[in-house]
Amino acid sequence: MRALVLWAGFALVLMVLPLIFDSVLGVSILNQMAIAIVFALSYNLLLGQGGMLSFGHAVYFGLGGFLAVHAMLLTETQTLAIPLVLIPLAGGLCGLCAALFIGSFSTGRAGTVFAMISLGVGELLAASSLILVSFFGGESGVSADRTFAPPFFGVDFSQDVQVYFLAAAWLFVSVLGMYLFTRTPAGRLANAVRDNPERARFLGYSAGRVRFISFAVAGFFAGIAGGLFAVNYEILTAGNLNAASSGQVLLMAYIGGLGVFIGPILGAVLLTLINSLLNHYTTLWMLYLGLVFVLTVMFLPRGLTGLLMLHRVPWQQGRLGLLVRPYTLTAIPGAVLVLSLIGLLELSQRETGPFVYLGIPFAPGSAVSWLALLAVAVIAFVALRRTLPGLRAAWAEASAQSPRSMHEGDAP
Amino acid sequence: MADALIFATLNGLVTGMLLFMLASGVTLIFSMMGVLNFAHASFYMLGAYFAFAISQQIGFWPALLLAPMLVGVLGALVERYGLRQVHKSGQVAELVFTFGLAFLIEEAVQLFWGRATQDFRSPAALDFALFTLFGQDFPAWKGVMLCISVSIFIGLYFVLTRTRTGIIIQAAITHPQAVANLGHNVPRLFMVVFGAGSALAGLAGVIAGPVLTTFPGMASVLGSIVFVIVVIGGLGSLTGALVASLLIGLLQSWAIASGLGMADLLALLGVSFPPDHALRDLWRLTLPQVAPLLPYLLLVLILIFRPSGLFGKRES
Amino acid sequence: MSVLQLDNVSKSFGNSAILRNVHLRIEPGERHAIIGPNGAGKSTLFHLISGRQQVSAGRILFKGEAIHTLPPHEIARRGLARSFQVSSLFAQLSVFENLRCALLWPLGYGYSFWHLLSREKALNARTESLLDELGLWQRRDVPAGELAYAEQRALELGLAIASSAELILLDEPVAGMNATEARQALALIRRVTAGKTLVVVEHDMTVVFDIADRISVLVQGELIASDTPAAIRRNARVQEAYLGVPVPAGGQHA
Repeated sequence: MRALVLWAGFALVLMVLPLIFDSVLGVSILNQMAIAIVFALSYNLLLGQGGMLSFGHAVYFGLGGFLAVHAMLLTETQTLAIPLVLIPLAGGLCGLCAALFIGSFSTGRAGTVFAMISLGVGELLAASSLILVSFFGGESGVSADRTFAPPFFGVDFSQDVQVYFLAAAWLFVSVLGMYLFTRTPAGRLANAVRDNPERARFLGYSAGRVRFISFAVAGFFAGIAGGLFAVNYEILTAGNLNAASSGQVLLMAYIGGLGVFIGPILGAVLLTLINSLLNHYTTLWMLYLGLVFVLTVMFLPRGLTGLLMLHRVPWQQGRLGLLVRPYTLTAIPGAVLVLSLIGLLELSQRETGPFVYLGIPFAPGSAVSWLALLAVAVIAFVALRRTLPGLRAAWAEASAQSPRSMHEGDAP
Repeated sequence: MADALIFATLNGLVTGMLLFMLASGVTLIFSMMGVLNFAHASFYMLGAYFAFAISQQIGFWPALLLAPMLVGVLGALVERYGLRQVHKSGQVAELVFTFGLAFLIEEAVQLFWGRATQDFRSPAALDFALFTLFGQDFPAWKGVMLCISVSIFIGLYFVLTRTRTGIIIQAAITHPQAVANLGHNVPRLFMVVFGAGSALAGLAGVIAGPVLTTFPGMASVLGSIVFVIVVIGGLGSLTGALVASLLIGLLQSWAIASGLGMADLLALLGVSFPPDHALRDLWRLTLPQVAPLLPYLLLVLILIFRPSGLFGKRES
Repeated sequence: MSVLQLDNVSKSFGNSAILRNVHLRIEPGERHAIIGPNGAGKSTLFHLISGRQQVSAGRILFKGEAIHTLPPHEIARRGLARSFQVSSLFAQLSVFENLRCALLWPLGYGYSFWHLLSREKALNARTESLLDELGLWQRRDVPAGELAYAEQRALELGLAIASSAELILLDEPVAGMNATEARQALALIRRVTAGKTLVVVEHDMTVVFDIADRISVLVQGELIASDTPAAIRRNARVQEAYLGVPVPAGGQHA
């Protein structure tokens, strides 16, 4: 019952979102998010649920997308009339077929060998995509026009909002599908094989077969995400299936958190926002993204949702209040430090003109500007070092009495 | 034909030995620490950029020495303050960390030097042809590259077989647990090996920068190839890394030089296809086109049929 | 017909022979203990039977069928379960999920991705009764990796017996436990393996003589005796091998 309410709530949120964010940019970002969420969740079936570190998941996204574009082209040339709402499914089936083929030889082993095969296959396909021009369209990619598809109950998908509802429907179905998959024997066995493939064998299961199933399901949903991409952007290029694209999805899943089902959703939402908003303000957003990623791997091995989950014990024990003061005390110098460092980085990128940052004008090339920011950063750093022990002590107190609570440093 | 073959072989040797400078570091680091270092090629890129910056101030030759040292120190710091922290979260986290680091270094390089290709040149004193064969010049700089990389190989061999540290490292490769039990300062050894490996990569960057162009994508161009080599050679095997480096270097060089294509093969077989055939891309493939694919094809095949690599003993 | 039959089984790594020409018969319902000094090859013997390692020579029959060429999961499916000397659990899964995973194949779910686990009443009921039986009811939702040592051993045993396999191999089930824990564990083993064929590797002699109705002695890769506990106690070769006591004059010679 509770689950039903949750899913209804999720559907409702999806319906309401475009009413709140009704600008062109808003809808465009929502569409990107829907695509990213499906893609990131499918990646989590591999890494988070199945323990398979893939450096080539964009292969299934990209192949699904390219096939979807070609399916749209078939409609455009009136060879075959495929309703636009079914295009993502075509992408999904293509992703599934590719995953069935590649999974048949790559899922026998996990760990480094699997990671390397995924890398090799990814690079192989990325390089071939530039050679096989008739399918991948070479440097310029393949494009199609979605409005040629037969109207779906009078909707012709000429507007982004209409595409949003198509994407939201597929998002809902995909999230539900992947969630349910994690609750089936095959899904649970994927966790078991992730934790201990050896033991799973002695319980009657071939670890490779279990991985293969997860891999195929992940390929299917990645293909759906690719199909949604094709519908939304009406173009696919080699960049959609290369290593950078595979890296992006790894970033989303990891920053969001692999342990919890909603982790990658959070990561996908956050990274889409960063990708589409931050690049209006700074040219350095990729650098910030990289920094956030590396710091996450170092200090939050379970990602942002892992960090939130850490608060469960203090919360259950009603001791969350203990953390408010130390959190505030740490957050202030922390924020000042981060902001001043960002200021320094941004300042280094300006060559002329006043650089107005947080309402304060700075002059590139003036020693005063540099020294002022540097001084603030140093002071904030010193203050942070003094407040951190207090936070640690408060943490210890808030989560005491439960020695078996979750630890941050557990195996991933 | 003969001249093309000789030059292709020479170029293949130069590339192969260069690749080995990177692959040896990745192999050593993997053997000792169990970390497949994704960021290794990034240190190679840093070597090229540092050397470019230094050579603009005080000249190329000091840069040849200083840049690798700087990169080595940076590598040691990364091990001490980054990797060591991640180690407790397990192997996957470590691999992901080095992946993130590679991403970060690429962005950082763009922050300082921008996206454009840098005008990093080999010293003017070496701007002459070492020899001329069949009317074709072999640049002196490539000779220097070959000399440096071969001496590094010999040096590495000497260090690993004749010095105390080298013997401990060798022991750590075959019996990782035993060395820790013998009371050696393993964390410091890790830091040293990681630093030294990074320095080697940096040196490779300095000598390759002028030839292979110094630009922010140079790490990712070489990075995955180095991975391929390490896996093909067999994770943890230095001999394997050497053989695979030369193999890949020569294979690519020959493929590019040959200029042969499917069309030639089809002509040989007496088959022809209409120009608008559905598989026309396949019939038009040429070896130079396929050359960049070869390493990855080899990688996938090796991993399927012999996951321990050509010379490897361990699987992962 | 014997449940398990080992004919002339040998195992060597490189030049060193770990097991030499082992012959062994285990009859239905038998409780068989394998003892021997460290490095005698007891664990290797288990690895060969369960398919974790391949025999170098000889053959292994389970219910009359050759299993020595099968992978571990095929052997497990035929009704042979085992536990490990060092607990081998699914660390991030809860105790309940660990046990449920062990029940999936025996209950015929295969690799199903069309059943929802929460809806499978019979499966969940079996898992819960197993939890109860193992005394792990209180720890039902705790990740296996966070259990105390004795609890991990109990869960380890649970994974082995969950499938109601006909033949159960237990590798040092009470190793590392104190006397009280060992006694409890033993009672548990006796209870949950009632009516099944059991093969145990164990160091603790009191445990062995307590639980087994036949004992085999493995020394330096050779099976030197296989008999009832009383006969084994009297066996001179065993005494010599085990206690280092020279055989008194007039006794049999090794």
